[in-house]
Amino acid sequence: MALMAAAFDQRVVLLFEGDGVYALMKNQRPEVIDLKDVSPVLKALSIYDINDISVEKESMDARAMVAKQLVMPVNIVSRGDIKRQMASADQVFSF
Amino acid sequence: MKISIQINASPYQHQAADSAWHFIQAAILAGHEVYRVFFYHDGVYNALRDARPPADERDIVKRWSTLHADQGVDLVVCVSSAQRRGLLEHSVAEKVGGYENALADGFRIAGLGLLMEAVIEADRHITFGA
Repeated sequence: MALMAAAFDQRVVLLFEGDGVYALMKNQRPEVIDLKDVSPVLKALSIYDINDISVEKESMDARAMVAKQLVMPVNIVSRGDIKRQMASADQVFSF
Repeated sequence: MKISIQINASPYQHQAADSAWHFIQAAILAGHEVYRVFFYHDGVYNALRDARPPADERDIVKRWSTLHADQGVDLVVCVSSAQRRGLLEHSVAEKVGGYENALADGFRIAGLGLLMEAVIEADRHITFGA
């Protein structure tokens, strides 16, 4: 969806919160449970000019995650920041 | 106002398809234009031609087909959601040996591009179902 929006020249902001933050964990072995590796897609986001990627600090804290466990550098922001970013968007899509 | 609708949940188990349909009826009655309804994720089950609910119950699939026939509302089913769930377009089913008559009248199968286009074209985009 983000890639499609970017292909339509839309400004895309990607926000990770709740269990969604696990998507950013590095050293995943998805093949163990017969799933596809999504990290190549995450790393390709910049090719589509999607550089505005944030993860909610409270969600990371609740899951004992720290910045160095992330698959790539992203903005670690507060819940208030996430809310402000959502409020400023024309459209919000939740996955 | 031009309105775009997205439905993410299967009919009967969740309220999304009912809420969306009632919302659309009210919107059209109030003079708004429903630009497109996009069926995403389990929402693709709204397009199953062979759904046969009991005669004294609402027929959700038929409602959509009627909405298309009467109001010309564009009903688009996400191709990747649909193929994952065995809902194939006629030509694809022919090619891969699947069931060729899966899609109810009025629906068409297309990609996320049509969702994106609707979101951009419409004044409001409203999503039903988590």
